[in-house]
Amino acid sequence: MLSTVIKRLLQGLVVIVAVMVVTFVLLRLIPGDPARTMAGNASQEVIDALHEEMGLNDPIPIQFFNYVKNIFKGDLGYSYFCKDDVSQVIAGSYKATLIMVGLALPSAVFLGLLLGLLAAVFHDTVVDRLISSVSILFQSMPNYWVAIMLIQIVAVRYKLLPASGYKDVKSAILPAIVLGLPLAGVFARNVRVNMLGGMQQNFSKAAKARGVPGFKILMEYSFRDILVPFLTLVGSQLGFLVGNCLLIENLFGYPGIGLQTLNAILRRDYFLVQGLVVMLSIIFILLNTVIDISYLYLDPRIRKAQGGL
Amino acid sequence: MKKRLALILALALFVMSLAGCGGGKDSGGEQAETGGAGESKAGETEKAEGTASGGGDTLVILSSGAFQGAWDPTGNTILSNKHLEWNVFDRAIHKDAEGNYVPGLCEKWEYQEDGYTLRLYVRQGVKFHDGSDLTAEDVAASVEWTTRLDSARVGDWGGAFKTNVIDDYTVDIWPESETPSANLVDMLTADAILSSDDIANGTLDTTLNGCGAYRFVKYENETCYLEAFEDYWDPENAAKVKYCEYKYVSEPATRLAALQTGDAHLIERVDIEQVDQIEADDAIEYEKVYVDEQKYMIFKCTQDVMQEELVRKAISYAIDRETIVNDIMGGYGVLADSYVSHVNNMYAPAEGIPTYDPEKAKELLSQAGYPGGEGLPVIKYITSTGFYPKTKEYAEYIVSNLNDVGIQVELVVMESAAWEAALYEEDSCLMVDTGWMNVGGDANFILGSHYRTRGRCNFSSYAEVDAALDKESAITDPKERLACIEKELFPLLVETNTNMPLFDSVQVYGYVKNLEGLDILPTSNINFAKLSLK
Repeated sequence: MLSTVIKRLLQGLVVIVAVMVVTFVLLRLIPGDPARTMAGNASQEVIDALHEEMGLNDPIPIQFFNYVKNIFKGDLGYSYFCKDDVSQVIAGSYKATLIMVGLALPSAVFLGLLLGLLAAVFHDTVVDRLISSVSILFQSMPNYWVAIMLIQIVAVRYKLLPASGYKDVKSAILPAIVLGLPLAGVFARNVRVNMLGGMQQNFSKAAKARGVPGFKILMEYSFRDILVPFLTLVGSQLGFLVGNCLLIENLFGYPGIGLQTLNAILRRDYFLVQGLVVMLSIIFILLNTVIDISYLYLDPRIRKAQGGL
Repeated sequence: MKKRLALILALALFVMSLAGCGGGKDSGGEQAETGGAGESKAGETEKAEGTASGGGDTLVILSSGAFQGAWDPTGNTILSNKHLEWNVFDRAIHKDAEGNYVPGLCEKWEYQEDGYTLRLYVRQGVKFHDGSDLTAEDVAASVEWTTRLDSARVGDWGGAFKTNVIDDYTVDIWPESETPSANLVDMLTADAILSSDDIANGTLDTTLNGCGAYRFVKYENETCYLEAFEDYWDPENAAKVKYCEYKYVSEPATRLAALQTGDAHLIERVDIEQVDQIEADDAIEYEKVYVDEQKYMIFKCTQDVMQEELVRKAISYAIDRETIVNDIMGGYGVLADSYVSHVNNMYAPAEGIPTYDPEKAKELLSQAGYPGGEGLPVIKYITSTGFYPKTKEYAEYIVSNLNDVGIQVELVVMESAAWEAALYEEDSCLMVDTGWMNVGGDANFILGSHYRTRGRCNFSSYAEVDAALDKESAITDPKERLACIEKELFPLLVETNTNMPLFDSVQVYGYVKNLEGLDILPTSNINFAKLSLK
């Protein structure tokens, strides 16, 4: 297993280096000038002085070399817009996102599993059709619209939860719902389809022939069979989560990593964007590595192929 | 194995559901950390109270712009930074509600015999937020720092200034050019008085240390945390609410929702479409403010056909600005009839400014040698989205106006950072629309920046315009100066037509009904100290 982990982490390292290069170059290729964004309609002299201060007058390879050199010293750079070190800015905003994702992802997994299982157990009944319809609804509602509706109904009309910002965990509930609903829909449909598929497998048929009760077959045979594809699906949705954090945090004025990333891109806050992208890549790679490793636990065939735990 | 798996799954589901409810403990800690109060001077953190609209000791104001400028007030012209600076720093001279100059950090000022040196008598007993005393040294250092060559504010002042400290509380200031400066007193009502120590030590960019009614505590997660300054020199105008959170929220819908739920007390730049929602809500109100901001069509005067005055004029006559103001902006704008906004101190109508006349536009095109637009290149026109309201909508209408007279246009809609870069680039396009808020208040912020040689965005150069600008800038009598601008400068601007003013902006602010003391200045500055919650 150790070799698998090392292999995955090495692959991840290559991905992170590639992400760093691409982010660095792309940021400097897209139109926009951080000095101009920062100084507004100031004269060219002011802009030139800012370029010098930010190190933007150096050739791009030199800028990249300095950037990488500083990373090895543990310095992600300085955000001229946030007036703080990039690491401090990230440290100040990750908690809010962690709480939101911490609410959204487990809830979506729980709801997805529950609805998917129920739909499979009661397949071809009203319950199945209802759950399938609700799942499609969850997936197809634009999250922008859901956010506005929730803000208007829950926050503005009934004043049950805050509409924007972050004060405590209550502030995270509405953004988490918007983030989690489409995921729950995806998970539920996936679980239903795979559970039904599992019930058609030979091992399920054999168990049925042996007189094993249907519910037991469902939970102990088919459910076990869907865990690997389900985890793969959860892993593949991490990108969706990150992408949606940008939009949802902006809609709720929720001060997390997503909002920070969006603002940094819009302002051309080079160092902050680079720092955030690298950090998100690391998280993404680590989580996927954890998911890959969990396959070994969940599927004996993979375990065997990898030479055991 | 089966039992173990079942146990793992059951535990996993249980943990997941618990995790879904988790975070409360962490967030509780977070509340104390970022919940809205400021740190005290000793660095202690206090918990915010009363952020709801029912009153309390924290005022929550939502900014439509990010605080992305440098903390040094001379290092940016970013509007949200200027709004913040207005409350944290103080100025040498103030203006009353009628626009008259009244004492601020200086009790008295008088021109000396040479006609261009202004002597300032600095108020005694004024303290900076760091506890140091305000002296003439600070005023002198502020003026010199603000008017240095690479200051973002030097343009408004018209050049560098020199100073001479007479004693601890008396200082002379004069333009390096040793000619009278028309807007000198006005600039002293607009720009911050800084600590000479901060300037000398190079610490202006680390924090904001002023003499204003609010003390800057910290900036975190797009929010500036302010606290009433207990030693403010003018007790009558000291901050009425102890804490203030000035927070950037980009989405207009989010700002309005925060106002409706009572999470905010005052919001900037309400969308026109949101006015109905405010009218339908008993707890909130709005105010329509005519601000000193004008929207322009900028012609890149050194590029291709834009070098030709007739082409620029033809385009100006082809734009139906009335429809833009009345239909697209829903009446939230005033048709521009001058080169400064109608609320500016040097406003006068500019006679002959182009008005919508497609036939005249066609005629001008023919005179320029492009009958029916034939022979003209495709005009690249850049506009922004997500910065000013409805720019994309009116840009599309302008394109149709120009097509009607035979001008082919390539419209490029850019997000704000890309647009801003293009706005100040000489060859990014042939025309670009923008708007400038006059943060200083004096007309020269606009006139000097746009129309002097190598204009800031249009890059135009006209010696006769420079001469007229030099002349008006040296007239210290406001009436004489206005006459000069109206009779000598504006006709030249009509003739050269390097920028086409589209309309003067109207901004809508939303606020909770129990907010008192709201006074929005034409520069869009608001004195937070006057605000209180019933």
